Amino acid sequence: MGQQPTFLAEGFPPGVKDFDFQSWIPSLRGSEWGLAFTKITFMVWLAVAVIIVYFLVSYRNPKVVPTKKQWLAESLYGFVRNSVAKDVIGHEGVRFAPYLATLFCFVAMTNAFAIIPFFQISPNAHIAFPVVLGVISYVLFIVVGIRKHGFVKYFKTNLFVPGIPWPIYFLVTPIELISTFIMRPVTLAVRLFANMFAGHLMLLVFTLGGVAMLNSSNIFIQGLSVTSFLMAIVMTFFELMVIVLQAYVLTMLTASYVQGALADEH
Amino acid sequence: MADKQPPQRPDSGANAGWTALGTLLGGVIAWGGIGYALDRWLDIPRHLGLLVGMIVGICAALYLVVKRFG
Repeated sequence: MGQQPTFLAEGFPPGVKDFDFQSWIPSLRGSEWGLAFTKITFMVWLAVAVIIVYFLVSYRNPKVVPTKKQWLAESLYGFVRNSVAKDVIGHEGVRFAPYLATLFCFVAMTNAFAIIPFFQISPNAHIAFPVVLGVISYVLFIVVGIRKHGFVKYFKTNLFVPGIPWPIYFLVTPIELISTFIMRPVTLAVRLFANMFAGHLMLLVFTLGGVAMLNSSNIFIQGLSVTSFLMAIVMTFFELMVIVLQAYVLTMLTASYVQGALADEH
Repeated sequence: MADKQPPQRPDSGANAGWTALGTLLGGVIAWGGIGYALDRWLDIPRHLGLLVGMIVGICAALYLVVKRFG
């Protein structure tokens, strides 16, 4: 760049430090409660509040011929109940429909902050939040499996594939252990985190790249910044797809793990 | 929207695919990890333990996938 940028934000080359969000309560900065009231936690509480209020309001006065609000709420729940819970888990799946629908709405809502103006980052771009969601799914399918089959039988059907000679178990059981009880929660959390984090970086690159190009002294590069901003807009729509898709994938995989835990034999 | 559609099961195959992929990765990671640990413990030169472990792991995982889905 030929000259010093004039209208850039003070922390222009963005770095890792930009992900350390400051506490909104100044006196708590630096203390162990410093991370309790930040932009990120605010977004999570906001998402929870929006979902609770929306579903309460749209069901407060249910009609046989649904209003638009009620129709949206019903089709959200109906979609998760029928296409995820019932189709994946089977007739027992209706029991899990409330949790799965809540999970879907929560993840979709928190993901959506990635492209809502002035928020522009999803809480799920912080690994801590996907980890909690992954752990909940993990505990859920293990508890469901143990309650259905009993502790010994559940781990036996999961760790020992029937119909193979016993010496092979030494070779195969570590694989089952890793792939079922270690990789599942890790991949659940990492998939969501990586998608939201990568999406955030992508929008950041094109938007700030456009700003940096606009600040250039070269007229040609300034003109090219239009491409960068256009890409940012295109990527925002792409991000919208990722937001819904990742919420769906997380719900779907949770359901399929529960189904695996409930299944009689593999 | 979803209420009116007939019941369908679009992804019983995708489910099995994810499980198979997890098993294959798990094979490489589990036995590769064991091999790597042996490397570090016994000072085996040139990551031979890791190499053998990963090959053993993918073979065992393939066997497992065939047994489970075949």
